[in-house]
Amino acid sequence: MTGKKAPLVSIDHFRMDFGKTTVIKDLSFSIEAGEIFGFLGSNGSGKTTTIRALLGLYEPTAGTLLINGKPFDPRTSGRKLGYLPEERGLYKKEPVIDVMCYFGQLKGMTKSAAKKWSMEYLTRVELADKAKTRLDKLSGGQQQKVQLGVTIMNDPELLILDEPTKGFDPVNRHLLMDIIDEQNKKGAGVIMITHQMEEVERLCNRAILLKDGKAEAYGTIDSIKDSFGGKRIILRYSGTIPARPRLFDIKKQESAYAELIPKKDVSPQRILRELVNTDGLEIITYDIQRPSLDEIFVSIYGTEEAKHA
Amino acid sequence: MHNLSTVIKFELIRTLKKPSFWISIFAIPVLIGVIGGIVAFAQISGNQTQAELNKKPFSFSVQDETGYIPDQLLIKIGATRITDKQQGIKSVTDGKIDAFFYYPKDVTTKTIEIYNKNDGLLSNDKYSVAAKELLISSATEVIGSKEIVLITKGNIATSQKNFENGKEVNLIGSMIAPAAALVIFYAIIVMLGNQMLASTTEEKENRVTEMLLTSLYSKTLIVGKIIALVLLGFIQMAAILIPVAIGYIFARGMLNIPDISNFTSIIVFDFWPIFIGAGLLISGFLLFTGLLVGIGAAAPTAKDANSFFGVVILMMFIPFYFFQVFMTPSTSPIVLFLSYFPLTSPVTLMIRNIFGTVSISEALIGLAIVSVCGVVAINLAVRIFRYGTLEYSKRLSLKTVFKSKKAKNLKNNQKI
Repeated sequence: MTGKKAPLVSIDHFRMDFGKTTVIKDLSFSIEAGEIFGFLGSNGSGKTTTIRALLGLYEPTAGTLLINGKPFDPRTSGRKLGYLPEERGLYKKEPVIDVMCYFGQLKGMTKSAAKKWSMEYLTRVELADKAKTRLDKLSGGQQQKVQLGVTIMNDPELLILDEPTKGFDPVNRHLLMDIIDEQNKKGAGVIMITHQMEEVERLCNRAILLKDGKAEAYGTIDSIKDSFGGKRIILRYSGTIPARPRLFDIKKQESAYAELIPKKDVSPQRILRELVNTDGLEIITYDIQRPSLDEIFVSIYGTEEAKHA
Repeated sequence: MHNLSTVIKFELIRTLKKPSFWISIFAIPVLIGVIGGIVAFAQISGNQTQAELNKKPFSFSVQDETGYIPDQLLIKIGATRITDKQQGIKSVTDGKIDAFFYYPKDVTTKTIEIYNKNDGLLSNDKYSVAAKELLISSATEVIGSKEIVLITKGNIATSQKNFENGKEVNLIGSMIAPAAALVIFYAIIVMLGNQMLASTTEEKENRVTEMLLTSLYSKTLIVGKIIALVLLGFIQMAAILIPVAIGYIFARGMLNIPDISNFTSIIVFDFWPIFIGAGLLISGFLLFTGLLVGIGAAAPTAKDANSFFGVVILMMFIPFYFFQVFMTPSTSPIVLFLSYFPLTSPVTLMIRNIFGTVSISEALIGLAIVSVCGVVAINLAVRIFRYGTLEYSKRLSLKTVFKSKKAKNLKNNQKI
């Protein structure tokens, strides 16, 4: 024993077969406590399967999936888990407060603590007067708020949010972002499974991109951007940009605007030096940018697939 | 089991809070009570009216070809004897007398003819009653012994004692306890069957399974639901029986409830019949519960699941078509098949247990089969629930349950 604390989530050589179909080939990654982690991939890439296997809902074909160094157990790690599945819902014919108390008790809270917490949460989201109302009598947005409340009961150490903004209205999307931020500040690790790349860029420290059952990219957001397409040069100019195929490709060119993609091992600085010294070209402004995650996503999964994602 | 009591409490309380639960319990007894009350009221009113009408004296004449009716009896009741049938009928049609009875020579082959004025549907009966009573009283006087008349009527009681191996056997008394097991079994399955079937479809339809299964094991949820269902069944029975018991204790006479104190004293409590009955009741309950919960978990909606309920109930009723065969000891292939086929075994063996036509070894084999199948059915239901409910709107294929790796390894993950 080294005494080193185990990662919050540790997935090692995970493989998942359904009959003859292999959904996950060989997947390894880890998530530390307090981290917001983006879990990305196209539809059917195995994100939900991985989470279900991590939570013991599926038994992996091979590999280990651990939370705090141990396989998931509803009796222990289940108490400090906040899980918002993609297929989500609650007991629609029961009063809001009864459903919240039930889930609170299942997570190990006493009935009175669950009730107190639920009432505080409902007051915060302006649903205190609906506590005794049946869930199916609430609007879709109000039901989403209750669902979020149930997810974060008992101060989870690990929040797993599968397509968290799916079907959420803008108000609840804002509430969700506040909750993620709040829980993260309290020390919770967050796994966000999403197609919303701007949210990942804004919130996540690190991410993994799944393709064909394997990690296509894994690391910090910056390192992923670096490894996919690197940097690009945005120019505003007058004159003519000369062709330098050994130095760069012209990705986009309009009358006074161009986007240049440096060739491998060619620095943007070298290209700029070359262009500054070119006759008949005057550079008005320049900017060196990394590609957005959205662009990386499209480049990995292809335009059609990304559209469906 | 982790969180079991929380599941039971939640399932129990939310059902008890539903008005539909109480309506379903009391609707039929209340309806029966209301209809019974109306019928009783109508009967009492009718009886009173008839009694009043019957008290009213009427005048009549008699023509007696039998020769049994004595003059002194006719004088005593104020009737007159005549010898002309047509005259008697005319006296009635003219309104001189209320009725005329004509007794043919042989009343066993010919009918007594009664001619009377119309007093209405209820009152007209009094004339035929009077005509019969007059002849019976006359015949009794001819015989000279009321006792002999009763004997010839078959108004006699017997008492019987049966012996086996030198000991008295109380056949009816020994049938009561095993029969109770069969009645309870039917009552539970019929009353709770639909709820068992729908017990997991709510989780499936509401997409709540995944969140639940991160807080408890699927077996805990299923067992919790079954226990809650059984408790609800007891509450249902108590809700119906307690008012009956109160009525029996405090208002038995008024409500015309029969005295059952003698009945309870004749019940025989023999070990083997009770053990077999109780064992089959429990194992049969497990088997049918597992079957119904499994069907519910595999079907996409409650409506889909309901279509299978009739099939399960049919399996419970098939043995009744062979009721007479079970009344005598038999080793015919059909009896053996019904006794050992898991879905017909509980009811078949329970019926044979009532009549004492099943041997202990046969019963134990059947009990073992049903128990094993019951445990398998419950575990299968848990497995189907676990994977069926994650399939949400799809119907679960058996291949998914039996062949996939996830199902194969389920056992390892089901620590309670």
